[in-house]
Amino acid sequence: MRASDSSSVLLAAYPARLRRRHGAELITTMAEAAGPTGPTRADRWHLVLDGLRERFRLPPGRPLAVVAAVLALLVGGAIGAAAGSWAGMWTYPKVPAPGPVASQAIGSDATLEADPAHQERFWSSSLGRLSPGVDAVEAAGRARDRLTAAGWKTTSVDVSGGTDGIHFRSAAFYAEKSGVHLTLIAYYSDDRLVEIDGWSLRPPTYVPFVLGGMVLGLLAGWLAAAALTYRIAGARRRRTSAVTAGSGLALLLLPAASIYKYLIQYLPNQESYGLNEFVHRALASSPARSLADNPNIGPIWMDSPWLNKALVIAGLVAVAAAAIIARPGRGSQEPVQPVDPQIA
Amino acid sequence: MQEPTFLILTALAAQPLHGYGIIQSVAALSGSEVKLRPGTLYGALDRLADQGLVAVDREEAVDGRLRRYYRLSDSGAAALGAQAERLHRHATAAETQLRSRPGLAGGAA
Repeated sequence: MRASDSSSVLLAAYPARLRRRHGAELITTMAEAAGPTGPTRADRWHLVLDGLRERFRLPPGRPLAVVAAVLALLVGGAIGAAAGSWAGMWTYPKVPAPGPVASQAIGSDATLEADPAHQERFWSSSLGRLSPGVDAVEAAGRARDRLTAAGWKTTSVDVSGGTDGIHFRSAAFYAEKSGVHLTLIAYYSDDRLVEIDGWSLRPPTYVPFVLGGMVLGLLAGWLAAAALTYRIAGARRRRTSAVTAGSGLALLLLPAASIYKYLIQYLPNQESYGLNEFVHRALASSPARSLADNPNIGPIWMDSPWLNKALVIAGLVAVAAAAIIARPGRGSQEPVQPVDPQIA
Repeated sequence: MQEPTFLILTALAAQPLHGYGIIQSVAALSGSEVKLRPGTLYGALDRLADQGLVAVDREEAVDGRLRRYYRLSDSGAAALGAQAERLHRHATAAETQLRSRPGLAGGAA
């Protein structure tokens, strides 16, 4: 690696502002301080660490920059958690096609509909009708025995309903295997309905994905705020860029609040039965309850993935516009000036 | 004002210095207690320049290496003077308190 390449790698740790103003001096001073033996590995390491530390600094004497950085930290954490949740979603086990499992469970006690009522990646639902003369509780018991024999972990059959004049009496049990949860309910209804639902269970990888994404987002939020506040502090159109950035931040706070709401609601709360919702529910239609997303507009913005996504895009566009408005002018570049030969 | 910042301004009070010169001067002023690293120095110089406390005096090339000299601005001198006065007051107060400490030789009983 050439010396200039090596210097570029070391200086990459520094904010662009410091690289422009002091890049050559940093390398020169490190070499001078090291003496004739040249910089050691520790000298280079310290140079990089000091540069990374500089990236976290905010402009001194600007309380609004601190407020903006704290808000950007929160926004970054929320978006990071949502991104981590989206990535962690793909570690959920895929629910098998409902037909074979349902047939295995119910055997000849019922006739299943040819097509599943629902077949999604994380949940499925099959409906059927109990055969004439087959009792619902007995059919559920036999289905439980068949699934237990096939390696499913099952609960006992629970009989409920039929006393309030609203709900049909039914027999139900739950089964789990390989991260998939199954529910079988046989009703004492006129149409002798049998319902078999399959759900993905939250894998242990999901929470680390969310928290990891949140940590990365917090870092990114602070670093972006530090870079932008320095940029705005040195801009000619300081007021315009600050107002634009503030507007973008205000827009981003709304979807961030939605994400934190779902984070608090869903992350610690793993449902025993059924598919839990995802933390990124604020930004994406739920794969578990897609029907509930139509027409996709809730009573407030928090319930509308569409509106939250629009707010995120509008906020990021405003922040990017602020960065463009505050781009460094010629005077602030301060490149290393050609040396006057008279002085040298 | 943090100690490294105070020492950098102190180093520049008498004459303009380049980066390595500031590092040497700060080490001498602090009795080798404070050893500035280049990254720390230029981060501080950048902030001090933004605040108008220091300014670039001139640039030179020595053996093909850039040397940019920094000088204390008038507002930098005022800030340094105010901080020195403040530290002096605190030091005097500490000495007075210590002299009043019971059981200390020469102090009040």
